[in-house]
Amino acid sequence: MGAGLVLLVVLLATYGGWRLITPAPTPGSSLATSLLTGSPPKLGSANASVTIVEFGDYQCPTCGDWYRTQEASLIQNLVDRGKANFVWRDFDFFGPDSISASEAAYAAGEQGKFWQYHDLLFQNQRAPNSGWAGRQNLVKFAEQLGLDMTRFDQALNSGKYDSLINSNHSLGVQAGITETPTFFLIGPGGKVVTIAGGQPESVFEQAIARLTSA
Amino acid sequence: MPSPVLDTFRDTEYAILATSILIAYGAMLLFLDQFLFFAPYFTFYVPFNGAGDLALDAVLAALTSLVLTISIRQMLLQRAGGVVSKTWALGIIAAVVAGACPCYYLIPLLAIAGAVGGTLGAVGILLTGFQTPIKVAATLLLIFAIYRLNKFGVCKTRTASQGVKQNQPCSR
Repeated sequence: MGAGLVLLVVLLATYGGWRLITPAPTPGSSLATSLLTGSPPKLGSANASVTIVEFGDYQCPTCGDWYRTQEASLIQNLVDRGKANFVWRDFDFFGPDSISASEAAYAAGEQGKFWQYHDLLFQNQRAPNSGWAGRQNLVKFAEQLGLDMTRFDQALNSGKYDSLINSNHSLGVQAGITETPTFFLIGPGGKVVTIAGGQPESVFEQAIARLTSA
Repeated sequence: MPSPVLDTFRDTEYAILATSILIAYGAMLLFLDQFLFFAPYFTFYVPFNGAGDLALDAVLAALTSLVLTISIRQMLLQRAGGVVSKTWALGIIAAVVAGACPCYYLIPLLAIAGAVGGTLGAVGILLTGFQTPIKVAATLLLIFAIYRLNKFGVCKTRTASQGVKQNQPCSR
């Protein structure tokens, strides 16, 4: 009887796991519209048929791991070849240093160096809230990129990106994010595929093929 | 010398139970550590720097399944045999504390959803930076529990004509 019960539990768990595998793109045009609202930092060609929107936190270890192991090949294979655009949106929840890091990246963006600053943040990532993304280091990173420090300091201290960071967070919550990084792939007709977690680049290629062939 | 640990897995039901716990708990750990993904496609992926964490997850899942299964069997045997010992309780507590409840993973998730904040959220986020030492400590606790279960557990004693005769300490 015990073995039968165990077998039943295993079968139910297997069925539940199977039901979780839902590769079909969801027709989420209103979600797609929300995700593409505004003018978030974007890489890639305007003609790309798919847009990848990443929600991440510069202090999130998984986001850092994904950046270090996958982002370069994704940019090279999908963005540089015109198959997809790549958009960044903050989803800061690790603490005040996450917000400062996001503000600093936007401040660097004013001088045309958002993506370089974004790269520098992930390349220098340490344990969350250990001080690596404190004001002093954020200034050092800006100096490393040769930014105009007066303009950078003004932008960083003005608080003008607070509302953008808050609205990105609200958008993430509204989109149902439960972990970072989470990626939304928006295809033709506003179809959306969600990739939660630091998944390999091959999954993105598979999802894009499905979105563009559907 | 008979051993309560080896004795457990001579029993098919307990071998099945241990395998089921191993699969379920192992899958949960791999999912939480982002080695296993169920959506949009079933994917198993180990980043180049993830082999150590994967090995630790496998050891933790295997030890948890062993400790829980042996403890459950010891509880039933000791009750049936009238043996007054709570060795099994140590095993279950160790498995729950060390292996079966990686709650620290869930706190940042709840923090994302805005369900927890303040001190609890901060503690959860702090613990995400100490996953490896926590898992190593959990592994040591489970090894200690197996040692205790093996030393003080009971074995099922059988006779050809009577089936189960008595349950008594078997390692000395």
